[in-house]
Amino acid sequence: MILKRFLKEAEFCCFCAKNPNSGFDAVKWEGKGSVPAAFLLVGLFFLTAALKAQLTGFIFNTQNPDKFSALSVFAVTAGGFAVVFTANYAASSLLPSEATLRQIFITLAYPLAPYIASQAVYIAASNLVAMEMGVFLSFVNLLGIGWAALELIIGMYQTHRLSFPLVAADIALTAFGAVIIVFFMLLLYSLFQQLYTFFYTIFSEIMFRF
Amino acid sequence: MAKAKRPKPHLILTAITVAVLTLPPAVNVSAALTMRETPYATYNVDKWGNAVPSPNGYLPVRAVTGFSDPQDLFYDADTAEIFLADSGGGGIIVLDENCVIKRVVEFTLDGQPYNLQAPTGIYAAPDALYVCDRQGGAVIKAGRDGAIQAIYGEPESELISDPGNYRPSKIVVDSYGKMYVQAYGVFQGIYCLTSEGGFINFYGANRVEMTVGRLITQLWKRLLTKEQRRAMQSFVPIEYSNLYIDRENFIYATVTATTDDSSSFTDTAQDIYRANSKELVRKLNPLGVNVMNRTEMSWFQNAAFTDITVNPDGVMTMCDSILGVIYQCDKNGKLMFAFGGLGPQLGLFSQPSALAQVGDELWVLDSGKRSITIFQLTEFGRSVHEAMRLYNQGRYQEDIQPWEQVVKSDANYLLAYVGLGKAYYQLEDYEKSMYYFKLAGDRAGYSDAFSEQSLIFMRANFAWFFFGAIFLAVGLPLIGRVVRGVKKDDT
Repeated sequence: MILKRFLKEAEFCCFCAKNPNSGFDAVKWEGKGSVPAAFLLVGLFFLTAALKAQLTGFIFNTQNPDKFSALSVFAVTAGGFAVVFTANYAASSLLPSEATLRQIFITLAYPLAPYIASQAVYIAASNLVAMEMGVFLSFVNLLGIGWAALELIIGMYQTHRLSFPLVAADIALTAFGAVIIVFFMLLLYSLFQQLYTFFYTIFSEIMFRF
Repeated sequence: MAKAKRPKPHLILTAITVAVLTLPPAVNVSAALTMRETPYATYNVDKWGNAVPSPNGYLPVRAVTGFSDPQDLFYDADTAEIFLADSGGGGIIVLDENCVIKRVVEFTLDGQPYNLQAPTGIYAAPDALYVCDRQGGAVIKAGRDGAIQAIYGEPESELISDPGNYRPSKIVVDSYGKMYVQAYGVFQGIYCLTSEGGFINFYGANRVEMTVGRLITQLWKRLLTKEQRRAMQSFVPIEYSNLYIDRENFIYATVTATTDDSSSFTDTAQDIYRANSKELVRKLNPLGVNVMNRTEMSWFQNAAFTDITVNPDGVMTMCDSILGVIYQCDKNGKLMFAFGGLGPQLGLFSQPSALAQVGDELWVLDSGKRSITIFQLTEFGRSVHEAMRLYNQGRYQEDIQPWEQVVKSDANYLLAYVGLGKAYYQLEDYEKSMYYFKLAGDRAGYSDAFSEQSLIFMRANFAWFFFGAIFLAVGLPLIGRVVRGVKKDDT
């Protein structure tokens, strides 16, 4: 049952990658696509990033294994996705967008599929080719990113029901929003750090006195 | 009940002590020499550029003192003499290979004694001595006996921006008699002079590296008046600190920051030299172009090199006056040893200012301590040098045993793994070669061995690939068609 559903979603995901226009149109009007599948894609996004650091062939792997931290990779990938998702939802509310929260989530997550696929190819191929073939690997990377970007733009156009200039504005606002969110997070982090130091100083003062 | 007689504890202790002391020494002497404690920890860098401890390559054996203000060392291998420029009134002192004073060169001009004011640089050609007299503002050429043949004052040229301030500091002479003079406070480059002292050009000029900050300042300067501009710092490249010339007339030059107040760029010096930090050591070809492999030299972060010496195998040794560290690297710039430091003990320095490679020994002149410290190669250092010699001659296969010896002493020694990787590559054992290149973090070497290995694999399994490809191209569509045909028949 679960497997059947999984295969169905995977098929739809591939369909979206190949025909983003009709795919995301179906997301908008026929309620297609699923939130668990979107979560799975974000999870895979994190996994490929982590595996890329670990399994890329020696010739192309510049990651120092001593400095690798799965947590920070998670923060960058899944955390980054969460920030972009929040920023896009906020930006859409400023524009005459018709997308629901569910649709935005699916629109942002499904384009990860071609990128994840390109990374899988990259990791496998990097173990099989010599340094001179590196340009092909960069091409695979670029292809994945380009495909994902195109799918994302068309997806946003379909689900938000915005004109192309407004989609561009939405993307720009999303990027701006993401930067502001990260800035506030840093601010909060610094504030908590200072609060912690403040209370710790009081604590140690009391400890020294008694 | 009779008490059992218990042996007295102090008697047991004494017996053990006597037994231990009378046992023959278990450690052999050469190993003990390698492990001897030094006031510094020799280090190397791993493939990620982190410093890792390494066995000592050199050990300080003794220091010779008694000089008044030593400035420069020059080793003449042909006559086995070491020339020391002592600007504190000692003049030019000649030492033998045991660091014993043989004589002091007595300079004469037309039969009359001639006093050098403050010699700071010395170069000994087979037939002549060249001395830089900084205070006197002249380069003196004399016979080996001290009879002065010529005194070269300030060269004349329109290119010299600040005439009258000629303070020659270091000198090297190429095999054609051309003189290369590094003068104090001159940032245009090295004075290149004819054998008669005539000015040819400035050689190997340093460049100022542009940074965003400097670009903005430069744009800002355009808006200012001449007077305002003059009041601001000007960007000038850093001057050279010392020179070394090898047998092929390549000039090795070190660059350092200056702290001299009279220098016109004291304030910006730190900034500039950091911007140039990858080019603190240069190997200049006869055209004055830097041919040093810069990408390999990323193992120093903060250094002001005061001298460089190069052995016949191309192994370069530099001394740094900021941390007092001696760096030794191969001709490609890969670090072999880094040792020394600042301090009063033997093997540490106060102001290392000149180096000489005397056979296997390394002599370091310390103008702060006014001494020469003599370092000898350890067993480990000797095996590294031996392996490096074969490596530089391209005799990689003979090099396997020496490098394996090195790895036995230091499993972190990257150069050994590069050497072994190259050796096995030459022996066409690509799997081993890949293994060692991976340990060395040498991606290019690994990639070459990998290409060869995959070619062998392809050749060995060509039939599989060939028939597999035919099957994919012809067989699969055929099968598909047959299956579809069967299905059609069923319906």
